[in-house]
Amino acid sequence: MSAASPGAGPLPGYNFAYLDEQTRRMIRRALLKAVAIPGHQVPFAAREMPLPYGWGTGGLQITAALLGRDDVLKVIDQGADDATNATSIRRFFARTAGVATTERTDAASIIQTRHRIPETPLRPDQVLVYQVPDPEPLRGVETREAEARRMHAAADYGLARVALYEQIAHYGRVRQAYNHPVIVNRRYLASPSPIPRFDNPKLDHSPALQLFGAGRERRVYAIPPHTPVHSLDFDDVPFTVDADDTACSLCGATDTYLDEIVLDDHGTRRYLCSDTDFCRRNRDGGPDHE
Amino acid sequence: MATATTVFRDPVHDAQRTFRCALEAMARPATWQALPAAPEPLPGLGPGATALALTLLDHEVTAWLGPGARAAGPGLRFACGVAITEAPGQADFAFAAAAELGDLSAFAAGSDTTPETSATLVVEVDDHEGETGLLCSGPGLAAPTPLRCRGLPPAFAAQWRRQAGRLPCGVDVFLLAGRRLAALPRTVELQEAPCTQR
Repeated sequence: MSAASPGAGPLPGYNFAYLDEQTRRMIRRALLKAVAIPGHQVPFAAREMPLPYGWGTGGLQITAALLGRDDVLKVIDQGADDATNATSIRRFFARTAGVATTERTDAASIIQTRHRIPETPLRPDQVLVYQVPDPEPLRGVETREAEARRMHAAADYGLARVALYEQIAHYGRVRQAYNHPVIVNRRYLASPSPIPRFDNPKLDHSPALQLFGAGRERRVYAIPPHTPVHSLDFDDVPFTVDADDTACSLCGATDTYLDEIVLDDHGTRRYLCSDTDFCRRNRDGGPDHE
Repeated sequence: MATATTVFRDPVHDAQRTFRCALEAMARPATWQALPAAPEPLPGLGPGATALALTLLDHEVTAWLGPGARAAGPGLRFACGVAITEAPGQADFAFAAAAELGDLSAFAAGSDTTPETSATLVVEVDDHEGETGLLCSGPGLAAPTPLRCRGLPPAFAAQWRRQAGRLPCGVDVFLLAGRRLAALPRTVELQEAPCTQR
């Protein structure tokens, strides 16, 4: 398989990458402010997209504002390039922008993702765009938007810590397997979008720029490269990721995030890498092997 | 009198490439980037500042122009539909030569709940080379990076440090030197570099 499928040229009758120029300017201005204030949610005037809210319209609009003719786009849904959501979004930009697309993490310049960070380490020349369903990490403890904003303004995150403490007090450990909130640049509490806890360490000091878009909630936020990102925890109960020795039944990797597949009514299970590109290249002789 | 105005040669793609350059600059402070597209500069603005204006300004924002950049007003209004204000505190974007910028505290710094409403300053410096004796650190920088440029007023570093006390409020700065661009987002910390031998 070639590294990237070439695009066919943009769809006639539409602006490049679907969105009109005024919308792209508005999103671009919001993104510049988001990068300047790491972790702070910047409101933006999310447009209706030809995709329902909740299917990645925030990520879609960020990608549309970023995308240029020379970009190579990869889209993943829970690590997989071939899931419905990822396939639709990839095809959307192949049609409306005519850009090249790829399934290979190392061949992409922009990676739009739903709920995973690729296993292959990212490079400084790559941008990771997250589809975020709920950008407000305080929503679970404070339903009032105005109050949540005041709490962010004052860096008043005691309630979020109490919520975490209650999990530890009740269950002896943090039960939240995904969407574990993070403190960006020692200042803002931010939602990592529902990535598994396993991926949280990859947010920290990433060499790549990370942009987060929530279409329904009309917010963008960002983590610049080389920015400290600390998963919320306590001095005496430090953040840990769940790890065991289970190996991927396809490629044998023991250090990747695995999907559990139930095979029959007797509870027989198989485990597969969630990152399909990493798994395939691992089977082909290692991620760096062509 | 005819208005001197300007456009990108390839409006959609030149704006896209200029934005990516600006985003890269903002994500990696104090790192000079070469702008890919240079439109015919407006009177009072350099080619880089003109490219940024065409990329980021429209009828939704307000711009303030420093004394030397005033001549660009009619052209900017025509090309971008941007409102021009006389009051620096009301501007979303400010265009000025470094020497004419005045005190940073004159510009909108945003509020604690909406720090993103602060101004973005587009500041023309003399050159992208030259020692400032300042070291930048903060998000976007793996290691402290010397700020290289010529023409930044001596008072800038002190004003910048004063604004750091108001974080997350504060202005963000693009430095322009011809077609070169670098950024100082508000999170950048400026320190005097340890003295090297003279």
